[in-house]
Amino acid sequence: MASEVEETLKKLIAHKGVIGTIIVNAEGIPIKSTMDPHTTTQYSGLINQLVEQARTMFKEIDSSNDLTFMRMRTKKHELMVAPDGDYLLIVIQNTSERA
Amino acid sequence: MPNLPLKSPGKTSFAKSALIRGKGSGTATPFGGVAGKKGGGGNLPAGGPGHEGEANGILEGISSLHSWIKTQTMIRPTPKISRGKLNGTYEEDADEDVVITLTAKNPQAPKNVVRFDYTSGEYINIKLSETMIDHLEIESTCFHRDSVEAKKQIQAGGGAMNGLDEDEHDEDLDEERTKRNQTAKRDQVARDAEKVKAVKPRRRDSDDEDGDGGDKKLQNQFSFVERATQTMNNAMKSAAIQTEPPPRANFSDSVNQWIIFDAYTAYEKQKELQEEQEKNKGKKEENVSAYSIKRILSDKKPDPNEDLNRNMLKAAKILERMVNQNTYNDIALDFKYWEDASDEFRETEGTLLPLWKFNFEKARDMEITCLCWNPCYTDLFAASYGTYNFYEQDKPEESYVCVFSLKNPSFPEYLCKAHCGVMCVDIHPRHPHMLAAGLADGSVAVYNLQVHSQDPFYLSTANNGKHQDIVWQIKWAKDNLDGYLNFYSVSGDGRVTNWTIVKTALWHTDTMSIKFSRHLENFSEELVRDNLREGGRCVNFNPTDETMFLVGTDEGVIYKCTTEYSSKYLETYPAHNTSIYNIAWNQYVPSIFITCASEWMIKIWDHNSRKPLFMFDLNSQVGDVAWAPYSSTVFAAVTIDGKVHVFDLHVDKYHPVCSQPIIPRKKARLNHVSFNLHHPILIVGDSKGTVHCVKLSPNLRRQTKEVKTALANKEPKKALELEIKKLENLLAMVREPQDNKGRKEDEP
Repeated sequence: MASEVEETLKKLIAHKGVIGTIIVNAEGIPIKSTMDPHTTTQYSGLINQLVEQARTMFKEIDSSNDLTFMRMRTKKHELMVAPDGDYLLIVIQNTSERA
Repeated sequence: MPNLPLKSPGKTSFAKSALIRGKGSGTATPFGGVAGKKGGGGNLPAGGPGHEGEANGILEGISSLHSWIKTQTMIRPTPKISRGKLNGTYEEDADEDVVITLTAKNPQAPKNVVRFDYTSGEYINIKLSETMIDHLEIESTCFHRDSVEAKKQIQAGGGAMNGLDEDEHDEDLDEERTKRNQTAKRDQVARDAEKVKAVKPRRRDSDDEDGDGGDKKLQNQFSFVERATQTMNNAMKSAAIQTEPPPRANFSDSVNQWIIFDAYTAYEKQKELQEEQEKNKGKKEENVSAYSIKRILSDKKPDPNEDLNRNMLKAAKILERMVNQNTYNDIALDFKYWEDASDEFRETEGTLLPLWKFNFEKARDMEITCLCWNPCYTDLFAASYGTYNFYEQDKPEESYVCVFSLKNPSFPEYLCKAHCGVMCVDIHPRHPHMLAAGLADGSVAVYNLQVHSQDPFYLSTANNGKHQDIVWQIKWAKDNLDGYLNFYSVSGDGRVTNWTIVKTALWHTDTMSIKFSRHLENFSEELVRDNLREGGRCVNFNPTDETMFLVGTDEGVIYKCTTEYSSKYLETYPAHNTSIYNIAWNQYVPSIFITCASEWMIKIWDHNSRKPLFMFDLNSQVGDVAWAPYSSTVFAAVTIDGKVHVFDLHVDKYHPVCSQPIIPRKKARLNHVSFNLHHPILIVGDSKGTVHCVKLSPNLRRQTKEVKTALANKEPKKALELEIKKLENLLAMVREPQDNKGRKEDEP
C-alpha cells in the first residue's frame, strides 16, 4: 500500500506542469517535499491554517461533513490540497503556461 | 467684671475641697473657720482661729460624714421635746426661760477617738477636726490684700482694686451664693467628687484671663515636657534581577461543536476499548491456552499504517485527478461540448476529433491487441498489450493489461501484469471488476481489480487445460446455472474452451474443437496424409441466443456453433480468404453479424444465409470492426494504414461517411476500435501502444427524426423498434434483388 502511495506521488511529480508536492502532517510540519526547504516551510505553514479554517467552516455547517479536497487558482499556479485525516497532500501546478 | 478674677482664686485656693468655695467670712458664722482649716495656709481673712490640724485623708472623710448628721440635729431642738414629753407638762416648760445658743461646736462629735501609733506603740488621742458645724455658708468674693493669692492677682491684674466696685458686686453675688451653698451642703458627697474636677474650672478661668490679655505664665501651670526621638530610617535600596524568560509558544485554536463532538466520540471509543480489554483480561486468566492458540492462529497483524496509507492513497488519487483535469482541461471541454460546426454544411460526411491519447510508458513498444470498454463505468476501458509479430511472441518478459480512465490519460487506473504478451481481454458485463485475458502462450488469466494486486487472480496451468497456441479471443458468458462465473476462450490450437471460476480454481470444458478438416497438401510427396489443423481466431456469442456462437478461423472460415453440443457445426460460412480478425453481432437485429479480415474486406451477414449481405472494400488490411451502440446501421472499422472508417448504411450503403487518418501511415498501424456505450467517442489502438480517443462529429451519429422524437418522448422501446425497422428496411432492399447480389457475392 505504501508503495502505491509512493507510486502515485511519483506519477504526480512526473506529470507535466507540476511544480512540487508536499506532504504535511497535522502539526503543519512538512514530512516530504519536492521543493526547496524555504518554499516548503512557507507553503506548509500557511496552508495548514487555511485548510483548518475551511474544514472548520464545513464542519460548522454540517458536523457530519468533512473537507476532502480544496483547490485554489492563482494567476500563476493552481494549488491543490487533499486533506486525509492526519496529513495534507499539497500539489502546486503551473497552469499559466501550457507545457 | 473685676470680681471675676477675684472670685475664682477664692474658690480654688486649694483644690482639695469644694467647701473652700464660698467659704467667705459671713457675718452669721463667727467661727466659719472650716474653710480656714482646709485652706492651705489659712489665708481666709474671715476664718477666725483656723484649725491648723492636719487633714488626714481618712479623717476628712469621716468628718464630712459627721458634719452631715450634725446639721440635722441642729435643726431640731431635741432635748427640749424629749424633756417635754417626759414631764407631760408643756405649759410648765413654756414658761421656763430657755436659753438657746447657737454654737458651732458639734455636740455629737466623738471626743475620744484614738489611734494606735505604731512608732510609739501606744494609742494616741486624736483631736477631731470636724467638731465645728457650719450654720451658714456664704461664699466670699474677696480675700485679704496681703494674701499670696491676692498679691498674685494684683500682680496679674496690674492695678489697684476698687473697693466700691467689689462691694457692690459682692452683695449681688452673695445672694446667689447662699442659695447655692445650701444645696451644695446637701450634696456634699457629690461635691467631694467635684473636687477632682476642680482643676478644670480653674483652667477655664485661666482661659478667660487669656481673653483679657493676661499673663501667659498662668495659662498652664503644669510643665509639660515633650520629648520625641526619631530613629534612623534605613536607606532604601532597590535591587532587580532579570531571569531567563520561560519558553513561550503561541497556541491558538478555535473550538467548535464538532471538535468537541469528535473528541467525545474518540474518548468514548477509547473507554469502550479499555473496558473490553479489561474484560478480556478476566477471560484471559480463565482460558489462557485458548487465547494463546487463537493468537498463534491469527498471527497476522494488521499493518497499523495500512489505514493511513489507504487514506493517503485516496488523497493522492484525488490530487492526481485534479492535476490531470487541469492539464487536459481543454480536451475535457472538447469532449463534452465541441461539435463540429462544419457538419451542417456537409451532406453526409462527418469528422473525427482527436481527444486524449493514452499510453503506458513501460509498454511503449508493444501493440494494442485488444480494447474493451467497461460496461458499468463509462470512462473506464481496458487495453491489452502484446505483439502480433510471430517471431517476437516470446520476446516480452512482461506484458500488461491497462485499465485507463478518460479522467486520467497519463497513467492507467489499474494495471494487470502478465508473464507474456496479452492478446485479448474482456470485462465481465455484470461484474465490472472481473477481467479475463488471454495470453500469447495459451494461458488464460483472470484479474480481480478489487484486489490490490497486479498479478492474476486465476491462471490456467499446463495441466489445467491451457491452450497450446495463442489465445486469440476471450468472452465472458452469462453465469451458469450454479451461479459461477464462466467465460469462453478461442485459441490457435483449434479449441473453444469454457472456463468456470469455482472459488479458487478454474475448471475447463472444451465446448468445441475445430476438426482437422483441411488436408495437408504437399506438392511433392503424396505420402503425407495428415490433416492440417485449423486455428480459431475469433469468437462471438449471439446477443439474444447465448448458446449460439460464431468462430472465425485462421483460414477465413466461420463456423456457427452451439454450446449445447460440440460435435457438429450448425453452419459453415466461407467468409474470407485470410484469417478473420473479428466477428461482431449487431446489437439491434440479432441475426446480423459483421466480419473483417486482413484481405481488405468487411462483410455483413445474416446468419441464416451463407452469402454476405454487404461487402466493403477498404483498400487496406482491416484490423477491427465494431457496431455502434447508438444506431443499428453504423459501424466503424480501422485499417492498418492508420485510417478510421465510419459507415452509416442508412445514409450511404456504398461509401463510408467518414474516412479519416488518425495516425501517420508510416508511423504505426491501427489495430483495434471500440465504441463507447454512452458517449459519442471511440477508441482506436495502434501498433505503438497508444490508444487514441476520437469524438464523432454530429453527422456520424445522426439519428432519424422518428428515433429522435421517440428518445425525446422517453420511449426507448419505440426508438429501439425504429432502429430495428431501419436496418430491416435496408436489409429487405438488399435481399430482394437476390440475383444481382448473388452474382456479386460470388466474386470472392
